[in-house]
Amino acid sequence: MDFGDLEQLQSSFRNEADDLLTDLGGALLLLELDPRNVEVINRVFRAMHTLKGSGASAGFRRLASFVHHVEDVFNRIRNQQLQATPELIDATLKACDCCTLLLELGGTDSDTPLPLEIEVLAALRPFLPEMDKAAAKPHSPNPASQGRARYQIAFRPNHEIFFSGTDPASLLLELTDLGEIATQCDPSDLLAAEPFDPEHSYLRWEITLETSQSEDKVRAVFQFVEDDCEVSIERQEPPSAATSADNKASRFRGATEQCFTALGFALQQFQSGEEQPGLATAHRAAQTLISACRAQPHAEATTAARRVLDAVLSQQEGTLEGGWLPKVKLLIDAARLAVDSPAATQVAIASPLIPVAPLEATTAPESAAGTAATSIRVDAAKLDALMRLAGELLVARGALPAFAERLENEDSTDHISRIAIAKEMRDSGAKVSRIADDLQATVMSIRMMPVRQVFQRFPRLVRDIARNLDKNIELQISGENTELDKTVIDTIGDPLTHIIRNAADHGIESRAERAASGKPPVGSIHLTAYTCGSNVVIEVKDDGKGLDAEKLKKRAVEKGLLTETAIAAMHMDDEAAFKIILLPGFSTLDKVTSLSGRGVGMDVVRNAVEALRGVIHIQSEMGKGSTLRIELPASLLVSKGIRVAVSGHEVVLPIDTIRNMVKVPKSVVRTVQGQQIAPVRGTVFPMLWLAHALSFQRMEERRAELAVAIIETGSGPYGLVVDHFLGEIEIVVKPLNGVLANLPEYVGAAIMGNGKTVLVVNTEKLFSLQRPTATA
Amino acid sequence: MGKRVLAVDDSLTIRQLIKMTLSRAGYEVVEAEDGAKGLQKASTEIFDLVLSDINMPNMTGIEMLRSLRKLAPYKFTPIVLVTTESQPEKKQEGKAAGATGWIVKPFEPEQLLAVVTKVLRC
Repeated sequence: MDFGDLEQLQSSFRNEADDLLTDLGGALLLLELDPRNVEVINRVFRAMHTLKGSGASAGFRRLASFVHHVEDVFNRIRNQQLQATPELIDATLKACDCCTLLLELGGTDSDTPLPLEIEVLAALRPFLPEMDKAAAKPHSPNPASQGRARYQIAFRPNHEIFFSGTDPASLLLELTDLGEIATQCDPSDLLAAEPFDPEHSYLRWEITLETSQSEDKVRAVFQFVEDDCEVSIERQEPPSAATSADNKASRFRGATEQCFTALGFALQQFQSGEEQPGLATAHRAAQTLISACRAQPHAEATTAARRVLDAVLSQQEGTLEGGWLPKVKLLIDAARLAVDSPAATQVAIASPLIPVAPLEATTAPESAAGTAATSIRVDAAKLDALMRLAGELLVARGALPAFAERLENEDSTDHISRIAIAKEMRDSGAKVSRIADDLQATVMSIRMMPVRQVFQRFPRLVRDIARNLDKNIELQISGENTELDKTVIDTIGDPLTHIIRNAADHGIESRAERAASGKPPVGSIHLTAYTCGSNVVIEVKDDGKGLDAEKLKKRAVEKGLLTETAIAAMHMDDEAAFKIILLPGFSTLDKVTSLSGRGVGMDVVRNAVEALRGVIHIQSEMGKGSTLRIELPASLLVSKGIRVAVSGHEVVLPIDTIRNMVKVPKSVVRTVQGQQIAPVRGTVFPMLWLAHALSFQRMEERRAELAVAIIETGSGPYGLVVDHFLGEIEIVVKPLNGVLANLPEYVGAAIMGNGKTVLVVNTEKLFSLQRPTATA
Repeated sequence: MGKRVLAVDDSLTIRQLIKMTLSRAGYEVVEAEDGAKGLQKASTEIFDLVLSDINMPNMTGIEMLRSLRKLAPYKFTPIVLVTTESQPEKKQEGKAAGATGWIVKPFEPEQLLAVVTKVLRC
C-alpha cells in the first residue's frame, strides 16, 4: 500500500471513528441509566470492536491497542463479570476523549503515552486485574528456511468439504507453489460410494512434497481445513532430485491407470444394458481422473479428462442422441494419449492462476492529502440527481449552436421565421434555466446536514456538568433532523456548547434551591431546532432561575459597559436588558467555576452567531427559566438582499438583518451625547448614515424624509440611513480576497444578473464599528 | 473481467482497505455494510468470493453465511470471515456455518491477498 492509499484510508477511518465515538458516547450514557441492558452493552462493545479492528488496519496501532484494554473491560461486562458503575462509565467516557486525542495524533507511533492515556488506564485497572498481562503478544518469528526437506502428506478431505467453499484440488495446487509434489490419489472410497453423491468428496491423497520452505508454510496450506479433514504432515530426509521426479511420474501413471480401468468397466456396463449404473461409474471415474490430472498438474490431460466428464454428463441428462458410445471412446482415448504425453504446460498451470498486480503506486499520493478537513458525506441519491441534471444540461446546451446555424441560413427579411426561431430559443432558454435552478437546489442540498451532528455531543456535556456540580439535569433534544448548511454545522457547535454549559451551570439551580422553591427535583434543558421560513431556529430552554433584567442593567453600569443615561435613552425593555449578557466583558457570576466563565463570555457566542449572519433572542422569566433563541439562515450560499443607493454608489444590505424599511422625517432626528437618535413608530433608535459609515462623501440631503432601514443586530437594533432603496435581489455572497478582505464594513461581494459586482454591507457590524467615533 | 468479491463489513475503513487491496490485484469489489445488505446484494448478483465481518448490526456475518449457503449459487462459493474474533470457538462456529476460512484483523494487505488467492485458486 502506498502513501496515498494510507492517507485516504486514515482519512476515512477518522470520519468513521468520529461516528463510532459519538455512538459510543451515546450508548455509554444510556448504559449508565440502564446498566443491564444487553442491547446497549453490545452496542458499546461493537463500537469498540470496530474502532480497534479498523484502527489497527488503517495504521492507528496505538489507538487500537488502547481500545483493546477498554474492550477487555467491556468484555467482562458483557460476560456479566462486572457491572457498569457510574465510575466505570466515567473512565470509559474519558477513554473516548483519549481516543479523540490519539486520532488527532494520527498513525504516528510515538512511545510516550499521553497523560490522559495513563489516567484512563489507571482508572480502568481496578476493573481488570490482569490487564497488565494483556500486552500485545509479539509476532512469532518466521523460522528461517531450513534448507530443502521432504514432507510426506496424507490428506483425506471431509466428505462435505465442498460445502465450505473449499476445493481440495486447490490445496494441492497451492502445494505446487511451495515445491515439487508427487501425488497418489486413492479413489477407493469413490468407487465404493453407494449411493454416490456428486456433491461430496470421496478422494484421498498421499503427497510427497519437496520444498525449501518452512514447515509452517506447508502447514499453512491446510490451515482452514485441518480441523475437519484428516491431515498428517511428516518431515523426512531430503531426497535426490531425480528420484523424486521419477516417483511423482510413476504415481501419476498409477492413479490415472485406475481411472481408465474404471472407465472401461463403465462402458462395458453401459453396453450390456445397465446404462444408468454404467454412467454413474463413468461419472465418478472421469471426476477422479480430472482431480488426478489437476493435482499432477497436467493441463492438457485435465482438459481431455474434463471432455470425457462433459460427455458423460450430457448422456446422463439425455441431451446427446445415439452415437454416444463411439464418441466417448474417442474422448477416453484422447485423454489417455494426453496423460501419456509429457506435461508441457505444467509450468503455466503451476504458477498462480490469478495474475497478481504488484502493489505499486498508481495514484498520485497528493490526491488525498489535505482533503480530510473539508470532506463531506453525500447521500448517493443526491449525487445521482446531480449526474442526471448534468446530463440534461449537456443535452440542452446542444440545442444552442443549432439556433445560430439556423439564424445564419435564414433569410433575414423573413420576419415570421425569425419570430419562430426566437420563440424556440426562448423555450430552450427556459429549459436551461429550469435545469440550472434544479442544479443549484441539488448542490445546496448536498451542503445541508442534519443538526444532529452537533446536538449529539450535548448529552455527554450535560451529564458531565450535572455529575460535577451534583445537580440533577435532564436534557431533552428535539428536531435533530433539521438541516443546516455545513459551514453553520461546523461553526455552531462551540457557541451552543457555551450556551448549554451556561444553562446547566448558571441557569439550573442546585438541588437545595430547587427543593426550597418547590420546583421538580430534576432540572430540564430543552434543546430544539426547527425551520422557520428560510431560517433555522435553535432554542435552548431551561427551567432554572431565569434572568433579572434590573440586576443586569445595574451590573452593566457597574462594569462601565453602559451608562445610566444611555439605558434611559434607549428605553431598554426586558429583552434588550437580557442581551446585556452578550456584551464583551460581562459575566453575571463573580465566581469562576471550572465549567463556564473561564474568561470566555457570551460575547464570543454572539460573534460566532453573527459571523453566520444569525441573530440571538433571549426571553426569561424570573424563577421560571430562560430561553435563548438563535436564528440562523439555513443556507449561506444564496440569500436575498436590498439594493440601496448611497452617494451615487450601489451596495447591497443582507435582507435577514433588516427588520423593516421606513421613511423618517428629517426633523425628528436628535443628538444625545454625540449619538444621533430618532423615534420610529414609538421606539427610539440610534441612527447611522451609511455614507458616513462607508466613508463616502455625504451628499447634501434636500429631501425632508430619510430612507431608513431598521437593522437588527445581536447588540440591539439601529437605523441605517441610505439615499434610496432600489429593490430586492437574490445574491450569492462571495468572500472578499486580498486587501479588501480586511475591510470589516463588508461581508463580501455579489455578482448581479447583469454581471456587475456589488459589495455587500456588513450591517451586523457596521454600527459597532462606528461607536468609538460616534460617542467620542 | 476480474473475479467479483463481495466485501461485507460495517466499518468503512475495512471495506475500503479490502477494496483498495483487491482492486489493485485485478478483482472487482462490491461493498455491503451489514449482513442483511450483504445477503441482499448476494442474492441479486453473483460473486466468486464473499469476505465478511462477524460482528455487525442487523445480521451477523455468521447468520448471513448460513443464509448464503442455502442459496444454490453460493453452495460452494468461498466465504471468508474477516474478524477480530480470533477465539477458537468463533472459528468453529464459522466453520460449522460453512466458512471457507478466516482472516484476523488487523491484517496487512499482503495477508488479505494471500488468503484471497488461496481460496480462489480453482
